[in-house]
Amino acid sequence: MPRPPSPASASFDPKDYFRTFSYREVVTALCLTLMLCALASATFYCSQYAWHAEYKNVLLVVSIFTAVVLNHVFYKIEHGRPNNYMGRTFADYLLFFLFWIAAEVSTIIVSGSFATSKLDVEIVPITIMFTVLLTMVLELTLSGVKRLIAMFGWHVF
Amino acid sequence: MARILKIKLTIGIISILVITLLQYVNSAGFVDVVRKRWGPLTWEDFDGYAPPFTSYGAGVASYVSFEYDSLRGRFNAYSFQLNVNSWVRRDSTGQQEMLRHEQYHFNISELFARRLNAYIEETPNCTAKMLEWQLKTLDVERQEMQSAYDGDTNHNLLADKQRRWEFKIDSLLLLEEGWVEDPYSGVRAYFASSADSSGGVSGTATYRKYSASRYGVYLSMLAIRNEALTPEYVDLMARDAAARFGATFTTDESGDVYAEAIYDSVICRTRMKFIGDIPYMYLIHARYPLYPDDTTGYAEIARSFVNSVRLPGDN
Repeated sequence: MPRPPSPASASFDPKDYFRTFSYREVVTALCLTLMLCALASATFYCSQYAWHAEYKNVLLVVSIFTAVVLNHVFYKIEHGRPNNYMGRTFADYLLFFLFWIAAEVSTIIVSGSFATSKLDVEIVPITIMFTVLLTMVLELTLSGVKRLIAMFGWHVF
Repeated sequence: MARILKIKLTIGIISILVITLLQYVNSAGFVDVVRKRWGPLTWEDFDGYAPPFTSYGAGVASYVSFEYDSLRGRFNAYSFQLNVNSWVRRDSTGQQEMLRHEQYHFNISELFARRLNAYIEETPNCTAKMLEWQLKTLDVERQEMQSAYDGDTNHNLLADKQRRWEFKIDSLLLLEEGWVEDPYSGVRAYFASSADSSGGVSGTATYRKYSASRYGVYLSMLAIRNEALTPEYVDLMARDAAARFGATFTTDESGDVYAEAIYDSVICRTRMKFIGDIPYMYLIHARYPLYPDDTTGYAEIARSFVNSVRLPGDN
């Protein structure tokens, strides 16, 4: 017997995400953080090529989109069900938080000094707010993409 | 192990390998990092690995930074070159022209370090954060200028444009120091370098000459003091030049004679002026090479020099 469709409000309930939250989500976020770091290093390395200035924004957007989508794809495979909107948003927050930690740690390791950390206490609240809002917008966009590709019977995340 | 976990771990391991490899390449095999302050570069300062698939022979990594000078009690901006990110191909190390091109990239960075120092001078109470913002703004301009330099000179392939940029960058670095002035007649011209000087007596005339051969252009300024000089005589000379070389000449309201001849690859300007009761004649001369290729870069240096000449009383 098919399940009745869940109400729209269910998309904004992160209960399912937190109820099933386990080390798998952390491992996914960690691996994708490493992938983002590798892509960032590659992009930085390519800055010496003339084409870099023209394509660096495209590279940035593609890298973030790839990591975010893979995050949701892994979730769906591991849990046997897609994550809802709020769940996806929280999964993104975890990914971005780990990436920020990795960026700070790598800056400190490469420079060998804590003084080089770019952490600016004054702009932290603004940065957090901006990230939260931008992630929600990004996930809204992904919801649209998800519906679009579902029309072709392709349920990837 | 679950298949999906294997995939995730594979992504993680490959990413770590990529990060390590790029870090190894970026640090030129983990050699000691040297931040060389602004000065003449040698090929020994280029320790980095050439990027794959590049068509260029060398690349220099120069930046602007600042530090707090506790003795002076203020910030100090400086430019530096990073050995691990500066690279040269082995087959290019003999090419001094290429090194010269890279040196001027470094000089552009120094130019912006001086601009940041000017900002520090103007803002005595500036903080490190203010300087960081200012540096970010200047870095955008610096990158644009570095790109324009490479674009105009086609990465050092266009010799005349390369010389034009060298003249421009030297002028911006030297500013007032680039002027050469004749202390007797007061005439001054912008050589953007030091000039050889000579002088002597010939008949009733005493003369002093300042000249320099740089940027592929010969520049000279001759000041002649001659009691026997009359405006009519200079006018005659100007007309003669006009007849021979198609020169243009004018006599302005104050009676100063001004003539200019442009022929082939020479710009020659003659001016006469009475300083007090003493007649002076000035010959300003710029000669540049005439190659079959484009010579507009040389011509611009010559024109810039000729236009820079200031006689006493000029604005």
